[in-house]
Amino acid sequence: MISGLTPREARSRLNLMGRLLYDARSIDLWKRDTATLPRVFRSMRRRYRAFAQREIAPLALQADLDPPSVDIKGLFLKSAREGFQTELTPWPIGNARYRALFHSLIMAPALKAEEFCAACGGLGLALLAHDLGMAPLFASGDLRALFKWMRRIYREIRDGEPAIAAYAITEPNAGSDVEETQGASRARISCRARKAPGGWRISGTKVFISDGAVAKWITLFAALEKEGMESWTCFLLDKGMEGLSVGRSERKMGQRAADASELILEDVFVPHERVIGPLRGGWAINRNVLNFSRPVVGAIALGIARGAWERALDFCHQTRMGNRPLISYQDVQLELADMLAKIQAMRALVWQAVSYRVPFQTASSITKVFCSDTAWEVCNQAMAILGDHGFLHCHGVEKAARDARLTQIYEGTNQINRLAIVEGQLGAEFKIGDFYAP
Amino acid sequence: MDRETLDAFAHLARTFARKEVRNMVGRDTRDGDLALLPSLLEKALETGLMTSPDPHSPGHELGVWGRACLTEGPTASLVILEEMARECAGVALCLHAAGLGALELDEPIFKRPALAFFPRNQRLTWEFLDGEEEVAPGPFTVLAPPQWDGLVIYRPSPRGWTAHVLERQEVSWEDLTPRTGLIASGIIQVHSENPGVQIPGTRSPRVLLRRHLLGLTAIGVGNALGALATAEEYAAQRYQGGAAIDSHAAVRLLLGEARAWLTGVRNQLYMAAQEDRDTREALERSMVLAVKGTEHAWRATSHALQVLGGYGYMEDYRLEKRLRDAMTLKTLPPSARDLTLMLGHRERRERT
Ligand SMILES: Cc1cc2nc3c(=O)[nH]c(=O)nc-3n(C[C@H](O)[C@H](O)[C@H](O)COP(=O)(O)OP(=O)(O)OC[C@H]3O[C@@H](n4cnc5c(N)ncnc54)[C@H](O)[C@@H]3O)c2cc1C
Repeated sequence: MISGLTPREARSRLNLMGRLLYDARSIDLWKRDTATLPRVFRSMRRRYRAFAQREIAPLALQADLDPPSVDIKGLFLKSAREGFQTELTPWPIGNARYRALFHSLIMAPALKAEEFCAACGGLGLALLAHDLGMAPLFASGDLRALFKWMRRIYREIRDGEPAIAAYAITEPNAGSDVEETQGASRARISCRARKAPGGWRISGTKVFISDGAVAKWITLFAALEKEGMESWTCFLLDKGMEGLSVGRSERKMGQRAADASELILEDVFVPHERVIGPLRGGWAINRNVLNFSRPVVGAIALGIARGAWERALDFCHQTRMGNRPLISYQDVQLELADMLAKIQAMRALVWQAVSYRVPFQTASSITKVFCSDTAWEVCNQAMAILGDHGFLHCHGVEKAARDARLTQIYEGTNQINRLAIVEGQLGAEFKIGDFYAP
Repeated sequence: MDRETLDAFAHLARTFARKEVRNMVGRDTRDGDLALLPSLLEKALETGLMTSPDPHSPGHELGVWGRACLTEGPTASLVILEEMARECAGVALCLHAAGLGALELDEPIFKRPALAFFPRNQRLTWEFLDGEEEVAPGPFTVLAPPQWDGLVIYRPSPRGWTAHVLERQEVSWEDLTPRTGLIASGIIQVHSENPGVQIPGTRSPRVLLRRHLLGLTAIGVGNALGALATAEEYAAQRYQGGAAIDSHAAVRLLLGEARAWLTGVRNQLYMAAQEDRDTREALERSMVLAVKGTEHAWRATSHALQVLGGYGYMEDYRLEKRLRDAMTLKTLPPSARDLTLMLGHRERRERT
């Protein structure tokens, strides 16, 4: 006999105090988790989700099948009208809320990443890569960069221009080498800046640059002539500059709606005023931008996994197997529960990582590694739950799996991020005297 | 079948795959130039690698799931499938599907039959295999060779399983596309209210299932070994962190783990192929292989992709295709969950 034994029925036998202490309500986890957030983030989370469901989700499958058919700039402007593309900094530059920044510098991007990518990993990345492109202006601590450039770019966006920014560090021969210390010391970098009257002339190639083809602004890192990575300097380029062109756009396994392009620089003149932060300050800016952005990559992975889980759950409710709904099978419930547990663990980690006053290497890399590996597992579990529907594009689950796989690669492969976890705690947990030995 | 004959098969299949299949897969398109597929399969038929119900066709005996597998066991078929999948899992699946269908027909009433065995809305159970469970009405998921012209459907009856044939025009069907991978092969959904014409003989779905599971495992292993070869070659040439990346422990672990998984699965596959085909143990071993083998093959393929970093995620090195194929292979029916549940069904096992 079930009667009286279900949590809700059992609870009803308690007195008021007992009932208040026993929460057996049927409230979905999204709502429960949102309620734990500071008030300012609660409304933001709701707004991100509403936008994602209204504007991103309907385009997701089409954008994956035929990326050029989707108007990324149009979508960017819609997101900008909501204020979502100008919110790294508060007034008088951007529209971030002071109260939000007081709680966490990167909670808002993390919430946004989860919601956007739950709707579509590719379109989500296309919108989020802009924040990454803008991040050096902020993380450099350079007030001129903030007040002159960030303000200008944000104004252009508010005026209705799709002034998208991209972040360019990777080169054909330097991928991991631009993400970790030892590799950087021996990197074969090609992108170099040569001193010229009034500024710098940069030549070289960058690859895999998210939004590279659609961006107007690019924060690009180059070494000074005849020097190594320690001379890396951040420059702000724009597409109007002579000698800067877009090369091939990559054909990828997933996140296909987001462009990843090659940027070719042939003696591009960049005036002094476009140097972001100090000369030779680029490596520090890059490392710190990654500290800010890796938890957001964790949130991207979380969003993709959640999207796959939600679609798998829908499928299990709607599909009958052997004259019973799929959801009624115990093994299916076990699998869904396991996935949900993983998703909750990912979210807990992301929210914990963004709660540090200033993001730092170890926590950021842990979040990125754990969430991306877990998202890949969860999405593949979701495919398996769908059985021989799992590989069908129309359900959006296999797409999520393909999208998730990228999160284990960009912003440093998960192998490089694991090394970053150790490096970040050198002298603390890890006491490795010869860590940097050749 | 002796070692020498098997080596000769492997050599023939490898030469064919490297010349014809590699050419089709190419580098410029996501899933290869599929316009070349019909002529490629025609050549596979002429070379004797692909099987046809026609007794005069070269592969009738020795092609993938040719008649010889009834007396000699599945090893030769698995060798061919593995070699083909080293170049393209989709092409290998075409040969697998063509062979399974052809083996069902004693008379060449069709040129390229497809075999319908997995009802889409039904779980695979021991009861189902024993014909004790009614087949739920609804469509079948079918691996269909390209240009299939007829369908063989397995149906349970009080006298055991029987097979029924239908012309292609008699069934309604749809391609299960767009999908993740295995694009070269036909994966279709077939609806058939028409029972079709029964062909002589009772059938053993257990034997069929075992063949299918071993075949899928061989394809998964071949696909992953192809991925691993690409990754090893790349790792020796890519310079990062001050050296070729294959000198870094992180990369060696990826390659080593992939190799360990694949060697294990491959050894078990060929051991399983030697077993007496009709026993419960043989079927169970093929189920274990399908559950763990396709999973390990998928993980190994994913490791291989990771060795190439961002380049692995792009279409250029075909590793993303291999991973998409591995993901699809893992979700083909029967599902790993159903097989695992069957393996855990001890009571039933003791009865059988
Ligand atoms: C779709 C996509 C979008 C991207 N977007 C951007 C972007 O917007 N901006 C940008 O600048 N970059 C971007 N990237 C680049 C991305 O960050 C790099 O791909 C990533 O850092 C890996 O570099 P790589 O591809 O060159 O791989 P490699 O560095 O060649 O790595 C290959 C393998 O070697 C391993 N390895 C390398 N060095 C070491 C070492 N020292 N020790 C141990 N193992 C090592 C790696 O872990 C990996 O398994 C993007 C990449 C992709 C695929």
